[in-house]
Amino acid sequence: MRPATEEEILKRYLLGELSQDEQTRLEENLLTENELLDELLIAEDELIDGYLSGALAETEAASFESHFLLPPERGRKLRFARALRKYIAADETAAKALTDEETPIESVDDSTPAPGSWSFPGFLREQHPFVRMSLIAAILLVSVSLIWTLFRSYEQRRLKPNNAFAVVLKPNLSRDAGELQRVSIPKDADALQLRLRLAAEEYPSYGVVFKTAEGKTILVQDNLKAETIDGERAVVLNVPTETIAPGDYQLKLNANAPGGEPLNVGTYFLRILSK
Amino acid sequence: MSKKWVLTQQSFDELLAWLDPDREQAGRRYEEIRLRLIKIFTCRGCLESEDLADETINRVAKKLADIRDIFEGNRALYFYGVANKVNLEYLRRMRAPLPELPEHPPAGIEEEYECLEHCMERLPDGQRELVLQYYQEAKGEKIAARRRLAERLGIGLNALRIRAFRIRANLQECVQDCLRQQAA
Repeated sequence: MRPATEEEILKRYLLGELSQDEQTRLEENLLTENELLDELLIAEDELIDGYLSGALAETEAASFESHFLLPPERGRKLRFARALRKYIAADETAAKALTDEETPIESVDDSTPAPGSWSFPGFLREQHPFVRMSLIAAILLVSVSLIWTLFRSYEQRRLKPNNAFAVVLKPNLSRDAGELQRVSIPKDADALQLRLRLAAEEYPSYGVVFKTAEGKTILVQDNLKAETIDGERAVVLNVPTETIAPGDYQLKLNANAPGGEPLNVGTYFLRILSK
Repeated sequence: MSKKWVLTQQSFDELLAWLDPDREQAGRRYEEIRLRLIKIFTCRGCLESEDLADETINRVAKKLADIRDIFEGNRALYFYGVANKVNLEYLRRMRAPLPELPEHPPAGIEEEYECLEHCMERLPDGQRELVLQYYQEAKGEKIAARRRLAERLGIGLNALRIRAFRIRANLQECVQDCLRQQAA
């Protein structure tokens, strides 16, 4: 990253606070240095974000309003930044609401148990501390083992299902009814194995997003490698049949290009007719 | 603004040739200079940045016959010198109006928000997630969160900053297109 002083200079330039000599030097560099324009545009966005979040000093905010916002283009950028902040705040609120949906912690009843009744917490409290800790550790160990076993069982079914029903999909079929891949899944299949044929160029690894036609995400898997199946190169996704119902679905295949953004390399459509 | 001298195809071709003997390179160079001139006029608070940049280019093209054989150095800096004169004339002519403060409370951004929702849906999932995580407003944790995000993506902090900027720029262009379509 460029030295902090250069960021500070760009900020002061945007606020109209540079001396004439400083301004001339910077503008000459702007015309001759390739990277500086990008840095200036990023500095504009960061200045706008700083203004909206109240991070600017009073004098800076005043210069922002009296100088920076003069050109109409800047007003448009400010409105966009406001909309973006609102969108991200709404997304954060929605995400937080999901994670906060947990069973309320029941208050621990410390009162003496009713005569004739037995409670496990009460039983624990009566034990020697060493015995109590050992019992709790044993319970935790059994719980973790059980959860791990269930998870592995699910993963194995998902990744290497016992009885998978394979379907080959070609990319970018339109959703016109005549061309949609239609599938009826046998009742005894525990997984739908989707073999996504690759269009052309191959990448080191892929990610797949499996969604309903309405956009609800069913499954996301990353770091998938291309395989050769029946002489064709494809990326394979195993979807437990219990997670899908009759309806229309789409899959987006994204390539993980080295050092770059995930690149969408294909969209696939199918219709589950029955199970 | 009145333009007394019109840039003809011939003078435009000569200007490009002056910038670079290779026409494609010359075209790229021309666009770079024009974009930077617009940005300079914008940063100086001018309201007609594109017009002023074009006026600058017209004047350089007009003077080309006089300077072509004698000017040495970076061609872009010649444009800069002309741009300064154009700017001075603009200031004298316009006597810059008093700046308008942004409206408080701000004018509704419902249209921008609606367009942004539409544009975010069209983003690839990875880009959408990057934008959401990069611009989240966890005060005091923003830098740490961005560092973690950069590590997760396997890139440096500055590369992340540039990536987020490019996605944001695309989003903004998408929103502006959407607003124009709504207005039409």
